[in-house]
Amino acid sequence: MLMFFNFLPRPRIFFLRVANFFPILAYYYRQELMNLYDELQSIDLDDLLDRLTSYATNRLKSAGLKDLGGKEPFDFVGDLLLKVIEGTRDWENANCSFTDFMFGSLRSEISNFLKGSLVGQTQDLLESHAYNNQDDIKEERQQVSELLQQAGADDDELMVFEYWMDGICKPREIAEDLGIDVKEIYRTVKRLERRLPKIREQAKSII
Amino acid sequence: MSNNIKNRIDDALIAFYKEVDKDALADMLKDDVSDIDAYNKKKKQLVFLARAKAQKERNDNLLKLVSKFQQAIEANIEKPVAMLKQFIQGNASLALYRNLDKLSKEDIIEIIKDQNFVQLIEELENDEKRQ
Repeated sequence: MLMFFNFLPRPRIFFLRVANFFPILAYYYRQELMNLYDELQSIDLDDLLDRLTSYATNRLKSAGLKDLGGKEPFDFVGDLLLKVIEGTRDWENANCSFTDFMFGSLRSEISNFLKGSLVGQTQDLLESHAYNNQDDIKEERQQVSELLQQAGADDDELMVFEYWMDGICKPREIAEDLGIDVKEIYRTVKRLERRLPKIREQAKSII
Repeated sequence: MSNNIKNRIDDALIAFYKEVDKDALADMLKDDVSDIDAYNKKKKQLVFLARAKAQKERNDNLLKLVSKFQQAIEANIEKPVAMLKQFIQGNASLALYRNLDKLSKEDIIEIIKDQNFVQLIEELENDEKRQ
């Protein structure tokens, strides 16, 4: 299957773009290529940057950090992309999709930034005492769910939270399981995302 | 909140941002970004810069590789020569390049242009260290 792609006429970018509509084809083609230049030419980079920026904005907001050292959330995304191009963060040997790599790396960059801040250092102190015992996690999950309820979370939000805690996190999978339109889940996730920072202070005291 | 719970929440939010449809994403950005026009302008600049930088990196790596292969052919260094022969044998359209001594810079570019340049440079440099 992989040898087939060597005989495809040029330009390769055209076939990558077509392959994007056929996930299995895209998977095999990317396995064969894994070339940053071709990837950047073929993906919808505009769309990816929007998604990454939205994630970064909400992640930083939820950490309660007011001072980003003069940076905007978009700057975290831009700096990361340039690191990937310069090779400081190596996608070509990462063995995952470019989108997955960018989200994973952005999560790591923001996490490192927060650890360096006062907010992060305070959180670190508290998390160093956090336990990982299964029964304790069950109890903590229950307590977080109760806090969400007290903060005004509706049944839909609580249900989505439970799915997350069970390891089911893709909105489409949750929607399919419930037999509802995925847009309902998107709306619920947005409400839940806005609700979570309201309980972070109280959730710290659970530990 | 323990790391376990926090990680699951973060995994779920990442899944959400990867999957959410474009219309909903556009609405969210209008709320998230104070000046959407400035954001769109910066984003356009970044896309242009990113693609241009990637192209420059690619061209620099390509020229570096061509030079290494040319030197290897002249000095008859086993591994690079074997690599070139393998690329030629693996692709029917490259059959006319069988005679390595007569390869020009453009011919070598044609042979290696679809390979992973970073990986190739690494392999050749490791081989040079072993020599």
